[in-house]
Amino acid sequence: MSFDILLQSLEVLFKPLPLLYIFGGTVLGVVFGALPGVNASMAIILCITFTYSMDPLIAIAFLCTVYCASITGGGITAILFRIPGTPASAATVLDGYPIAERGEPGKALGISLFSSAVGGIISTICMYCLTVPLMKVALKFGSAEQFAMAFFGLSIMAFMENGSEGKIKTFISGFIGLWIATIGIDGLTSVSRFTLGTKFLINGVGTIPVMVGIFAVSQVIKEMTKKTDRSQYSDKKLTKLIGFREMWAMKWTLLRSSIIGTLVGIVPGAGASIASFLGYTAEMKISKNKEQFGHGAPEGVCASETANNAATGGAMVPLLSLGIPGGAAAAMIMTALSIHGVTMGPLLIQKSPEYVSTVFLSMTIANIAMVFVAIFVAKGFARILRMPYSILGVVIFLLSAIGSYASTKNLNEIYIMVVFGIFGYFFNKYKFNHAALVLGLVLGETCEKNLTRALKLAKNNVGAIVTRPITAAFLLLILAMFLWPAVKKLIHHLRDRKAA
Amino acid sequence: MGELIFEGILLLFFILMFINGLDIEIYNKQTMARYWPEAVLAIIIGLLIISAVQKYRKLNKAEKTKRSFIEFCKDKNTLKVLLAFLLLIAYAVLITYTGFLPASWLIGCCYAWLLGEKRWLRSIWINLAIVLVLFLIFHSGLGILMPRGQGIFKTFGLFMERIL
Repeated sequence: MSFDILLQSLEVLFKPLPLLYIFGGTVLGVVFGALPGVNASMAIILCITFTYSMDPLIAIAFLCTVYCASITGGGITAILFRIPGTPASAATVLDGYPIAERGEPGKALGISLFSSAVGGIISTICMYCLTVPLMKVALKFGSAEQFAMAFFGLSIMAFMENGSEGKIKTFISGFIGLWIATIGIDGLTSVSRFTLGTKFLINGVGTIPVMVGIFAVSQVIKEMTKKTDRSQYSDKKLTKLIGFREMWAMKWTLLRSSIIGTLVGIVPGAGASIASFLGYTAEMKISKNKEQFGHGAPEGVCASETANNAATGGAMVPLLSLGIPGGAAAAMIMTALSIHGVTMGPLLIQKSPEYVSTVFLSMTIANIAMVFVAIFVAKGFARILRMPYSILGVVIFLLSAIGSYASTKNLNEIYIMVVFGIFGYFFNKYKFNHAALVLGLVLGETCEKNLTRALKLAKNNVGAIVTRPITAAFLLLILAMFLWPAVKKLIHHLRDRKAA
Repeated sequence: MGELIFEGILLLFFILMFINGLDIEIYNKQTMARYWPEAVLAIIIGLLIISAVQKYRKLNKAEKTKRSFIEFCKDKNTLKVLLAFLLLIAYAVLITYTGFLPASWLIGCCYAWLLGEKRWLRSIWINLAIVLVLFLIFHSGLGILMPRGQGIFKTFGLFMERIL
């Protein structure tokens, strides 16, 4: 992209009104994202009305801002209330909530918001500079590659717990998640599975009610029997955000997760949830504090939040260059712009390159503005934890119910939430791994759908699938991850023998 | 003991699901729609059996007796949890008939009591305020149509939608 076009977009955006729209979009996005049940696509739908009177360039800037900010806002309830507003924030719950439980919600929120901003900025820079070459990579991602990528995400299960009992429970949880993802009508063959002859389960089991039931509702029930010590929520640490030094210590986590998020984001259909889990997986494998993951590791929050926000910039690559929306939210932006007569696709980059630079600029400004907006939002939200749990618990329960219902406006989702709330209570009580269950649930459909497609395309020749370069690379990476502990042990053993 | 019972229930459920899965139609020779979930279920069943056997071996004699089960049932916390489950189910049923506002207010009051709020009058007002604020945010603010209920409750729901 030439510098002149960037200047042209700067002229459009750096005026009071467009800047006000971007700032307003950031506030709206963070607040909508923080409300359970209001995901990024819904936040965009709610904001489309504002764009009718806008110039198309400002409209795309405003909607991209809302998109970025809503993904970030999703982490707020995940950290404070254990309610992952979107599947993209599910990995944030795993370490964010334990940090908040320790009485440092401000710190967790600070990590989440700052990481989101950095992830967003890095991915938008990648998007601006590398849209065309990145698109070539994205086009190489067929079903086999997407299966391998999802399978790589699932492989994290093997490293979540130590000890045979913990590992067995983790695998049971993960496979239960995979099974839940198969309930309902199969997308490829239209065959109904495990619906027990009722219409109730025909649409399958939604991710949101399952997550809300397992994480939030079960936590409220747990509080009835075993009250958490809430005295730590009254001191100054509550609203204290993370310091620069602590954040700087996570610089490599930020960089790694940003790259992972951007790359996953450009793959059509992958999206922020897979990016977030992959970022988390990679960090867990690399980190020196592996045992802290799942118990309040700052790197865990940083990795998942950086990756899920980096995916937003990545998702813009197929949208702008090919007219293929990477996910539901990108599809909403595409629809909104078609109202303004703007058609996304290869011709857009050739004829109106200013759209790419406007998206780049607006997302960069939004990510910077988000840090300031979010600091106030985070401090305000962190204070909510000072409420007595008899009030907070009711608020969490009702937000969970609304969140489940609002995702499809169907009462069935509340029934599903109730079932998983009860199931989740025992699941947590007997120390099954809820993170593995969500992982299986989120990646299950991608895994099955793409494996089926890949097998069909390869005429059931497994060899043809595993020998594709990207697929083989992913599978080798998984193999290396599994073999590395044994190899490490062997090296140590040989060294000890040599020394002896 | 409780863990073993939970795993036993899970095992039974997944065996039933496995049997149910054998009836999944194979459409146009596409076997994955049946065999993928069946393979997943087979793994779950296998792992659950291993886990249950391990757990049973670890149980000491005292835990295997009937007495520990009765003590578990008589525990105050168990009754609280059972009540919470019943209220959850009641909420799911009530919201269909009474709509969002009455069902949420009622469950809010009950849950507040279970969570330790003993001042009834205060609880009633606070929960009414919570439900109304949430209704305002999601219905009036975001345009999400909340469940209205049936009969007289539907009329009430429509009335509230008009005034809020």
